[in-house]
Amino acid sequence: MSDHDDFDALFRAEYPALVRELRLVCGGVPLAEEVAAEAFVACWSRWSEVSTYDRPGAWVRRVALRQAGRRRWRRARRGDLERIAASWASTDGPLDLDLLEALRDLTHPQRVAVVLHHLAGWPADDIAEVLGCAEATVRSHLRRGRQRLQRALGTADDLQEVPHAHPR
Amino acid sequence: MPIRDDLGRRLDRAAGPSPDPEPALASLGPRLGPRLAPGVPRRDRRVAVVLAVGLIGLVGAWLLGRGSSDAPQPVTSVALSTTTASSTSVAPAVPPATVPATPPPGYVTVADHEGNPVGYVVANADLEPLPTFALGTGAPLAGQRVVDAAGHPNGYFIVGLGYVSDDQARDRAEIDRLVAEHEAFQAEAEAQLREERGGPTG
Repeated sequence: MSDHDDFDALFRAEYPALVRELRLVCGGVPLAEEVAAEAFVACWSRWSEVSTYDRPGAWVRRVALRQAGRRRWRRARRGDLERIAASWASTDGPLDLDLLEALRDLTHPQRVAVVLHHLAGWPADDIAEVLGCAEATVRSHLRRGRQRLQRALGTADDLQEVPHAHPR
Repeated sequence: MPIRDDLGRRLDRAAGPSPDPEPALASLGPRLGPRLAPGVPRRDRRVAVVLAVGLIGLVGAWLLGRGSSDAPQPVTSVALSTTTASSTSVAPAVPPATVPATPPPGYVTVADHEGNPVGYVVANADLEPLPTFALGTGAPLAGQRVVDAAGHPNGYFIVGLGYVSDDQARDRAEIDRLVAEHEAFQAEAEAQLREERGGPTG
């Protein structure tokens, strides 16, 4: 396969999941797609090196999620949030605005930890690489993030650690 | 597939459906620049193009010259091709009728990744030697407006590796923000590479 084919294959494999994660981390479709696109542009411009990594997709994720942390989550009101989420929400259920609002109020590391762990199934050591911190710190972010979500959502579950297979 | 608890299932629903990567990949094309020899410095690519064109020209000249010693040698055309390839670094293309390839005095032509002219920008020291500035070749013009032949903004701005339309960048502050974000992104990517070099790959 050529470099183009390898890059295109990586894009097709990683882009959909990355955008879904960024929607929750960044809080907006255009921003999520823009951050994802920028990450892949950066990846391509360094492809001769990144392509030699065992998991080039993980490199793209790290760049994208770290960059997402530099952009403020939209301080949107509930009405704005509804409009934003409506553009990506699936049609098979109502918008979960309570969850989106609760996510908005987390810190960036807490949001990344919660989204990567509970949505993408990443273990704490992989999340630690993305956030550039110790694994114990990630567990702290996860615990506090879940506690804040629990308080905001009024649910009693989600506080238990759940077993996850290594994602990739 | 991760094992999902209630929170995971709620996040899964809130994240919405997976986007189709094909349109995104297609729209990313211009920002990837000419997709030739990634990772090779651009100057080296130009040298490679010049050498290839020159070699083909020399072989052609030798073949033509072999038939008759009086036949004209196509040295001039080889030299012209070489100049074009090295100075523009984009494939020659038939320009659209609305955007003549020849820029007004003091301007250089902005071409898309396929070499099609999309407008002009004011020439500066970085670009003066170049008759054409191909999008995707860097950002010496970041933030500049692209104008038509009459000097009127045609709705495009140079941002990072590509350009954005008026819909995306309505004013100078927005352009500056996009440029700053692009530069921060590049710095982030470089820092990431340095980290990777310092530790295990992958």
